[in-house]
Amino acid sequence: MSLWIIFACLTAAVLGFVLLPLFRRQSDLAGRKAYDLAVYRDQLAELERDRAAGLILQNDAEAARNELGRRMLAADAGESAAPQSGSASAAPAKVVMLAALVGIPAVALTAYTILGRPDLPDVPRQQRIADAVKNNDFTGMIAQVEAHLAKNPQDVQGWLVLAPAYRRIGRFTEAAQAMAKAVALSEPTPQLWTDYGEALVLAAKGIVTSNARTAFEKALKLDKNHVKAQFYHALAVKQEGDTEAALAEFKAILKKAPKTAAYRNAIERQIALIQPVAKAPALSKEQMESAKDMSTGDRMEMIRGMVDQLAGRLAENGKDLEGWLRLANARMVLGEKDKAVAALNSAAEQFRDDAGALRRIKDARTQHGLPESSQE
Amino acid sequence: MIAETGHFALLLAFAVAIYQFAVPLYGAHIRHDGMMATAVPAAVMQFLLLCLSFACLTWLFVTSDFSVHNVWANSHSAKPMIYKISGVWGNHEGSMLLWVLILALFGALVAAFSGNLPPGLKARVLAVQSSISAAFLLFLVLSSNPFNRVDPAPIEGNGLNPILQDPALAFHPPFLYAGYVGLSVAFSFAIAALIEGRVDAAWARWVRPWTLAAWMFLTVGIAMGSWWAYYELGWGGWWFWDPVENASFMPWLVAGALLHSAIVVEKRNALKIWTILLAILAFSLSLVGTFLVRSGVLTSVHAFAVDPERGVFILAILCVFIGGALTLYAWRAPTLKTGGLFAPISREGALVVNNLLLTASCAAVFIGTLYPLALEAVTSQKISVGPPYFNLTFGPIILPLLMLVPIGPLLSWKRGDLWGALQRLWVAALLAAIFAVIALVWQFGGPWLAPLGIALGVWMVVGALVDTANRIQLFRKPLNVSWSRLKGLPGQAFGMMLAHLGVGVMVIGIVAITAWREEVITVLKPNESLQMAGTTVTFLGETPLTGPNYTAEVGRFDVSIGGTKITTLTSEKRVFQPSRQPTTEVGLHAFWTGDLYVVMGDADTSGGRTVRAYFNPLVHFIWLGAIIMSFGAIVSLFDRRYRVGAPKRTRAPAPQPAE
Amino acid sequence: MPMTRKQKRTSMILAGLAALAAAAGLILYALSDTIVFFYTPSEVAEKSVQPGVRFRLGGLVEEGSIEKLAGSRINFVVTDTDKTLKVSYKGVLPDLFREGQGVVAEGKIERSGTFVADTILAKHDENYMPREVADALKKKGQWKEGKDGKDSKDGNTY
Repeated sequence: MSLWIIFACLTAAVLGFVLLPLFRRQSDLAGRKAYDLAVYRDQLAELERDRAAGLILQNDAEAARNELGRRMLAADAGESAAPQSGSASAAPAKVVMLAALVGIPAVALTAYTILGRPDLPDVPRQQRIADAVKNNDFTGMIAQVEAHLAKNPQDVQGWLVLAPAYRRIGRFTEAAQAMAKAVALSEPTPQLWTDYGEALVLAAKGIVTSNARTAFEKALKLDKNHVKAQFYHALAVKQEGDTEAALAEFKAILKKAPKTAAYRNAIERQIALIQPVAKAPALSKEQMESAKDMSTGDRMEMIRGMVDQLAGRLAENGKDLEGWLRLANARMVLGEKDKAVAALNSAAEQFRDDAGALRRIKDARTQHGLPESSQE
Repeated sequence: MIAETGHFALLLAFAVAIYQFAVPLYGAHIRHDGMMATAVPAAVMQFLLLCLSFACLTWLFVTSDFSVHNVWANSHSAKPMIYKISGVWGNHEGSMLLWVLILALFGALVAAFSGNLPPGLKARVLAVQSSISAAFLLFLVLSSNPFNRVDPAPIEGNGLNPILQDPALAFHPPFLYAGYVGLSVAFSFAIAALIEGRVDAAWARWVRPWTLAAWMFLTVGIAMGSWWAYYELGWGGWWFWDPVENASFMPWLVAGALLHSAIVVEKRNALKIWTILLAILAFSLSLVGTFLVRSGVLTSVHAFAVDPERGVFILAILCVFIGGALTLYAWRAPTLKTGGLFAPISREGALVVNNLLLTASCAAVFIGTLYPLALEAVTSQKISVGPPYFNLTFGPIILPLLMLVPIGPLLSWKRGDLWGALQRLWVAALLAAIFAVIALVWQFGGPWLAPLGIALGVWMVVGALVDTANRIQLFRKPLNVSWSRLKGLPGQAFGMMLAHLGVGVMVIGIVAITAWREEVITVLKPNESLQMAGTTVTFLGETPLTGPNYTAEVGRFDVSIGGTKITTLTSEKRVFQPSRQPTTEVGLHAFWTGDLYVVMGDADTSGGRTVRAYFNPLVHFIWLGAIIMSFGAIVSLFDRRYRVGAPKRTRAPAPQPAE
Repeated sequence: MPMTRKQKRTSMILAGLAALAAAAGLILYALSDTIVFFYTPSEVAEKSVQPGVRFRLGGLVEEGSIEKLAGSRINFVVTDTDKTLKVSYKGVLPDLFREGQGVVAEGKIERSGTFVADTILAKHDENYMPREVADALKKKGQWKEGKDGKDSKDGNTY
């Protein structure tokens, strides 16, 4: 509302100031030639000064004075004796005033309603970061922690907050880097080593890299019963092709797991995936190939888990265009075309008043080769 | 709130611009006092609104408000504050806003300082000025709106182009624009005079100071750009005949011609029609320059806005204004009364020669700049017109002008005495000859033309001083008389002396660097050295360096003369982090006799570094000359004769006959 | 014999015109003599450009073709993805000279068939492709519009 008050004040000030002289009779209106004569008189005075200072030769001064005199005469005679007087009749001035009173605000406001975004507040970066928590602005919160860590890079807690935040918005590489900092700065617990390893796995798109494996091994060295570390270790073994050993490790975890443990499912799924392969006495070349596929399968599994998490979050809070686009992207990767379309449709629904967002959604459709929607 | 206020102020300024164009013009036509008078507050208001808009945009850049597309695309929270501010005009949208702001500033200045202009002329000048504003505001709002928003706002900006983070580059656009746009005032005056069909005495007095101011800004802007190219690009050159450089050079040449012809209009009431044409041409070339730089038809070092849609828009504005102005000129110019006569050899004659040569040299630059574009547009054959063309055409055309510069001011009005003028210049001729001989001996075996070039420069410098000495009758009257005469000398005379002297100084610098520059390109391993201009440059080796947003290899070079160490130079190869963009930092040491310029190149297979070193003799004379020239313009601007009083004000409705 | 006003004016105008004609002649001569044509390697082959003729060569620096020799001489191959031309240059390269990136070189072809360049044009911005090169490549359909070089290299189609 205050925005419109500012606009109204601006417009009123402009109109008042500009239209004020419209009815004023220009009292100082001298004839046209008076202006010419004023210049010539000034030139004469200047000539006189130069002559007095000896800056100009007597002859030249004389010639110049004669010429100025001639011009003054010409100017005096040039125009009719009575200079045409200006008018200040009120009638045309009224028309102009009315036209301006309507026209100037009309032009500015029409243009503004087409081009302006009165609904959008300013978002200065500092302010946004400061208010991030209040506004539940996740990106802002991350920036807040980033700024804090730029000043205090030794703050382990900060890195530990930042890493899962990065992970949540899909910046896995940065999550892994943050975890690496945390690990380097503290005396890692088994949990920390495991989290670091997991971050590395996510950054590598599901592959347990050698660095990640080392991290899990370190965790297990400190606590050989750490379930998550055991799980990833088994996964690493499987990805290296030793399905037999992997199967054994998975089974061992399952055996120790309490009946109610939520992670049983994940392990059982792994076992189910391995079983047919593992039964074969030796690995043929073909089976090696399919084992590779399996690890792709694992990767898919993991991505699916994350994607479901994202979908859940978006279902709660849909004002996250980036999230929707990422979700659609992920759905396409998983081959779930229908769900991708659904995600984009929900996004279009959420952002139906935002032309910029709709354009991006439309772009996403084109990019994925999905049919266009009439909304955009 | 601030973003939207800035946006609304911009749109309101557009509405005011339309008002300021239409109402005073109509008012002047029907001789309505009130309508003519509203031009003044409208011009002031338009300027204030654009100020507000520009201030808002600056605030958005300063606070890194990335909800504004322009800020997001061109700024970054990690930028130093000074580059956040210069980032406001370091991009297409912001720079066009600055362009319009300066245009409105000149309009407001005309409104504020034109008490002594006849009301009709004032109203028309401000209306024409505002028509330009309105056209460019429309362009700004429709195709380059700096206040477009992004929702949701990104958290970090995109703009960290390291090359643009440089003081000379950051601050030369405002000067260039002030120059380009300042010429709009001369244009508005010319169009107003054509509409009125008369050129007043006041008209002539008024066109010159505005042109002078514009020319001064152009001089500073061009010199800053050239200086930036010299030390930042690492090519050791100071002028490349690049189309973007030419774009600012062409209006400079014509504005120079206009400055001189306006004197004839003021003093002798002659050359009016020609002067009006020059005023139109000068601003037209500014528009052409804006088009070349802003449309992206050329992709050259400076052009960072590429968008054909914008180009077409500016082209349309260009056609309307230049075409309209020339049509009006063809129609109305014959009705203007021509004035005083003069002999071919006279001050007027010399100024005509000056005008002919300046416009001809500008035509040469114009053809060389636009011919490749036209040819490509028509035949799609690509060619490049490079320095050889410009040296071959611009050089011979400008040379006679430079030789005549000291003579012109010594000729008297109407009928001059050439022989007398030459006699008075004997000191200049003698000194020029002496310096030519010195140059010949000092640099024996160099290009034979070079000593003559130095002689030309000395001739101009001493010639300018001779003129002043002559005016104050130095050595012909006692010194205290001369001194008091010097103090009484009008600013214009001082300004002219300084400007002509500055050109001479610049000529000396240009000749020296062109003829006697030394260049060595070689491969140096650590502790190897090269010999250049009497100095020994020893490569000490390289060390890695991590800067705030870049990593660099720093090459260190010891400079010594005859075993005495003078200084250590460093030249860096930087790689900026987010973009992986490499840049080179030049190692520069200024001696009295010139610059030693060392650039470290790529690593060689043998473990050395390619090193390029230049000795650029007297190169600082080029910029020194430009500074002297602009200073001359400033001195001239403060001449008291521009403060002409308005005619006696009359209270009575019926104006009294003047005295 | 003193000239009349009219004669004076005419003679001045004639002198002015003569000066302008001289300037115009100079410009035309310079244009015919100093302009440099721009060719891609294909056009060089097509038009069989003679050795010793100065021209500008534009294209991409072929991947893996840069050869740094002793004494700051460098050899590389310019390609328009159809034809190629070997280029030899001595001096310091512009900052942004890289394999796979656009380049404009000015010089002459020698009898051996190598293009000996004396100038390599600096590009000034990561996103900047010399205009001639971009146009020539567009014609060949080898140019992808992208926000930066990375996009077109990765082959992301938009």
